[in-house]
Amino acid sequence: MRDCCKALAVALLAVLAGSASAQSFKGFQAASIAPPELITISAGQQATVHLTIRIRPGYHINANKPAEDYLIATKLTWDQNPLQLRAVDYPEAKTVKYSFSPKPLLVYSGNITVSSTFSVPDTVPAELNELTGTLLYQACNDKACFRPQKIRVKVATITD
Amino acid sequence: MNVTTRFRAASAFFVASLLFASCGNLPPEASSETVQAAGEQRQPAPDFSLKDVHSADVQLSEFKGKVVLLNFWATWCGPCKIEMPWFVEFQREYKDRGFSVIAVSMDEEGWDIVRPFTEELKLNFPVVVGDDKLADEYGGVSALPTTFIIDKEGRIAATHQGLVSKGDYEDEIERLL
Repeated sequence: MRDCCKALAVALLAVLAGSASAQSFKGFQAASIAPPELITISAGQQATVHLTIRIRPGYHINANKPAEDYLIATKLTWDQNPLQLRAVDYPEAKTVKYSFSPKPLLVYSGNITVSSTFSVPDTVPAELNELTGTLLYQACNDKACFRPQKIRVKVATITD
Repeated sequence: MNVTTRFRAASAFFVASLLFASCGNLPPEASSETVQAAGEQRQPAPDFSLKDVHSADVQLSEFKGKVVLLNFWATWCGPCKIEMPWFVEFQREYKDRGFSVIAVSMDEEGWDIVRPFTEELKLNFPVVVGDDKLADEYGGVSALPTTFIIDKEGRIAATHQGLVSKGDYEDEIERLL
């Protein structure tokens, strides 16, 4: 029995030593993109892609037009494709005062939707079966900020 | 306390400790984290040599014999900006007692964006621009600010992820000086 206690003590020390070097934020993603819906592309029409960004509770990401110049804006960019990008519409930002900033900040939190509108040319290449892009965001909570992240975006398309 | 009772108590403590320790590896719902290491458990701080704003070498191992506050930060990090004036004050107050701040910027744009910031805040301690390799050596440093308090033997005495109070830093520095 005494040996069991010793073994437990040794294991406990090992666990505690391990926790001292634990990096709980490593690889942490504060935001993700919900799987986008299939988009139908019709020649000569407009196509709209709605992307839902899920931001973890307790975290925020900066608005597309942040309140301070030093902040990294949330930005969705699309790779070159046969469609013509007309607009990327971001949701209205929330104005929130954090203890680390003298001024209220413009942020997104919870689930938000970013909508992209494309004009479709009169002839659509048959090989077009997806639109790809990148979402850049930089997240914080009330005590820490996380290094800027890029998420690749892939939206499957079907031609009418 | 008989042997069986002792064993049960030890088991309960072990399970509780496992739960406590595993919290450190969960996604961080807590907004900041501090890890203290007692003397013999302290790990050596990985050495590095990087250029400061004047292109002079800043080598961590040359600070051995001093208490070092090694701060990873970025210009886009709001909480980091709160701490910088504290660090200026610490450098002024404790420098003559064998203390130095070293700030490692994680801005990908490098000196173009870091230099104006250091000038604006009149930083009175070495500032270098870090990279992923250095961040990896220090456990990833994905959350900023991340601050390591390094003892005179060059070992990590405390790690802070996220903003902590000025008083916490002062207590740790005083204890190690």
